[in-house]
Amino acid sequence: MVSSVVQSNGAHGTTNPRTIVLGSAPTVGNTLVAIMASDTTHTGVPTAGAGNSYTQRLAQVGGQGFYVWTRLVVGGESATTTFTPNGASPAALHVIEIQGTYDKVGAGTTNTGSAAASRTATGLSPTTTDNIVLAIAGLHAVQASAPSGGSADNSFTLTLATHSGGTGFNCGIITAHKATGAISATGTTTLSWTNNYNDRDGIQIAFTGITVIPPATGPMRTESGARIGLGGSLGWLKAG
Amino acid sequence: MPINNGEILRETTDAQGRTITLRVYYDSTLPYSPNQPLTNGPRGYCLDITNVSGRNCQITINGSTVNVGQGDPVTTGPANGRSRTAAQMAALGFTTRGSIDEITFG
Repeated sequence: MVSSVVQSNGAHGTTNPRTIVLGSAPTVGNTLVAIMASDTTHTGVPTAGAGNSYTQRLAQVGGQGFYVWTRLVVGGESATTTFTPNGASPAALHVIEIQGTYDKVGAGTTNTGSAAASRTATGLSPTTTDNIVLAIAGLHAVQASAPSGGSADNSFTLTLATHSGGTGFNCGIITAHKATGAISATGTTTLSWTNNYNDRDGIQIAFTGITVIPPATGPMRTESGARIGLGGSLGWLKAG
Repeated sequence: MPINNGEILRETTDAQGRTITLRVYYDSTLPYSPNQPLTNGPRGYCLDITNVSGRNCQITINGSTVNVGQGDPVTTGPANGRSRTAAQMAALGFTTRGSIDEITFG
């Protein structure tokens, strides 16, 4: 089954810890993606409920702290993901549920202290054709005019754009996605917005599809005439 | 405010849990500025690379791409893809935080 975006949510703020709540609890077998772009680093990986820790896939710390974490949903995960930025500093946060499993991250790009209204995310080659690829820009430090909006090229569709919305030192995240249908290189994606950020990080991250085995539909007979039944998704066999 | 914790960090982890880490250390006793000088970190290197992934890796700094060797820290492999002291970084033209402008790491 081709990977897809199931649900997403984002916010910004200065409270600590900080939470993002999805519309519903994530589905077993899917993957949660947590993203932070912040004035600061973090004091621990996010959790989707007590004990349900994410795994860090990317850390890029320069003028800002930009992180991507993933968690395979195994059951019992909360719809609420809790982040722990280091202190009460501005941070933009995204949580995205992907129908698929983590494959790989591409080459991270970064630029510190150079104001612009776009960021490139270097392409990667997904492992499977049933993939979905996220292109993410983590953004920090605004100029006199507050940034807004978000768009992506290379046939990526905007998933979510979050900006602090003020002037001074603030943060933003733009996430876009694309089901490429191929294992060839995705190519560079440029994420753009209105007005400048100084610190700009970019990354692509790929997910593979989930293999779904259909449930049993009824008894069958072997060539010798014996009946067998398919006992559910594990393909359990029983002589009849 | 921009982060001023003394290190530029890049770290990625693959699906098998193998991690590659790159750090560039600068003098954080000075206020945030592109002119903060690069310094040696706790392991004696300014550019401190760890690659125990068993995989090949490349870094591009300000447009120059090099292959990264293996180790913790990486001290072997291509000359420009090893951990480096601040003096060695200066010889390559990197002397300040601002000189490490664009890093592509993968």
